[in-house]
Amino acid sequence: MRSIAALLVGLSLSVPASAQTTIFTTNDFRQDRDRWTDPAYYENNTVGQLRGMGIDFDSGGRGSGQEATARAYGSKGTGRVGALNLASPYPYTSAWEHYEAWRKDARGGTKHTKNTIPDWRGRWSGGPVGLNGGPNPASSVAAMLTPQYREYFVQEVKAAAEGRIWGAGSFCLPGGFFASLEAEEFIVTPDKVWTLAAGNGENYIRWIYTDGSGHTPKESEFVKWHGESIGFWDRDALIIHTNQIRGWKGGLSESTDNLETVERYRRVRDMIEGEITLYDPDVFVRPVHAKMRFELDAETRPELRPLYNTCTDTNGPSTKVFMDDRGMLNQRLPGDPLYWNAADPRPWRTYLAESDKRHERYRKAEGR
Amino acid sequence: MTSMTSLKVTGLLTGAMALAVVSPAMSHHSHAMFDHSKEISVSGTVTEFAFRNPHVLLYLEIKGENGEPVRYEIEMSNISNTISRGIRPATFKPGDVVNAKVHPLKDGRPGGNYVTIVAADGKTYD
Repeated sequence: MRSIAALLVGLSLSVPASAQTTIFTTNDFRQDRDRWTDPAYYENNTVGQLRGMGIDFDSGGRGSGQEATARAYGSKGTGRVGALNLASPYPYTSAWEHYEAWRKDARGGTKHTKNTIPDWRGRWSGGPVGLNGGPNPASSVAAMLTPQYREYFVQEVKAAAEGRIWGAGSFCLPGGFFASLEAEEFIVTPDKVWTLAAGNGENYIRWIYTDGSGHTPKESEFVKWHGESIGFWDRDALIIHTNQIRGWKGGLSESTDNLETVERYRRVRDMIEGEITLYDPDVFVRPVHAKMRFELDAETRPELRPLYNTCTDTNGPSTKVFMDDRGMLNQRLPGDPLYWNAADPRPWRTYLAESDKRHERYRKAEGR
Repeated sequence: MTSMTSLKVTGLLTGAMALAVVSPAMSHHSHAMFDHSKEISVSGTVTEFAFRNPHVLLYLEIKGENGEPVRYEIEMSNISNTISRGIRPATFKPGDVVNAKVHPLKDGRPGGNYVTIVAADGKTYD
């Protein structure tokens, strides 16, 4: 499929060679920097469509789950520039400025009691809408990223389209902050809100302090998978500021330890509607914004209640500790095969660098 | 132990998997390692059924090309989706002879991604 796509492009002689280069035909994507923000470079594909090519099969949208989104490698996309505005509509330059402005608007926030606190009981399905770029072509995502992260993004979506995929869940690593946004339950009390979710390989919990106690002192700050969240109520709307979020993959591309966010949620009948604004100046050329949407789930069968899950149940055990050739318990160290470097801030970089090398060797050996 | 093998490509019969996603069921890993353009039949004897997340796994003993026993791993969906298909923890038991259609691993090793399965009692799960 890939060689056919390359052949068809090669036969199209009426267009200058430089203009023909796409993410599917390039020999070195790093030489194409000037094209990374051009929808044609991605054949107008969205990020979701590029990722669907990892399966390299045209299901025509039939089936469900990954099969429904599977696409043939190199096929044309349906991205529409401007279909979704990824940039924040707000004038703020930092999350804290944003949060404080909203708190000022709310005159310090609404003090709820058990009798007045909004009722968000139930099980919900949802999360961010289009935070991966949605219906926009991948070029729209690239345009929101600083040069370094733009390169990381193109490397990652190119590899994903070729079936060379780094996924935190695949390696039993935490999903991180962005996965935690897909809450299934909101436990709302006057001084604290919890959000809970049961992923298939991991459970997610956030603690949101609305008691006015604020963040931990600066000298005690450290990055955490889901960050640290404080909030206040503006009548029936919950506003949240989160900082100390461990840099990871997710959202528009990936994030650094400097990511801070502001969220706003409000229940409207059987929906919880909201929004999130992302501030991470190392990654984004301007703050990123997305809607949040949760629908009340009508499913109440006892056998489908949320579960406590651990990825290693069918994907483990951990590769850090292992049984060695002597039959003894042992531990992998730097340089050992399958060693996991817990201090590597971007393990997908390590994976993709090795994947790029192996794939290039494979392509040459196969004459592709 | 009764076992039989049938590994034949049945074409591009992907079918519509009417699979209800009940919870957010965040995707665990890509299915890029499976060949979705192929659907093969795998018949064998159940040796284990792991009703667990992130993926329910069904292990069969099948016959290899030369009649040797081969352990075949069928990766299914998560527990919620599997229940929604009508499959329960006791649906498959060691010793059951079953016939499954799977998307095989691209590299040819004995494993595949579940599409449909006929249980020992003749009931089809899809």
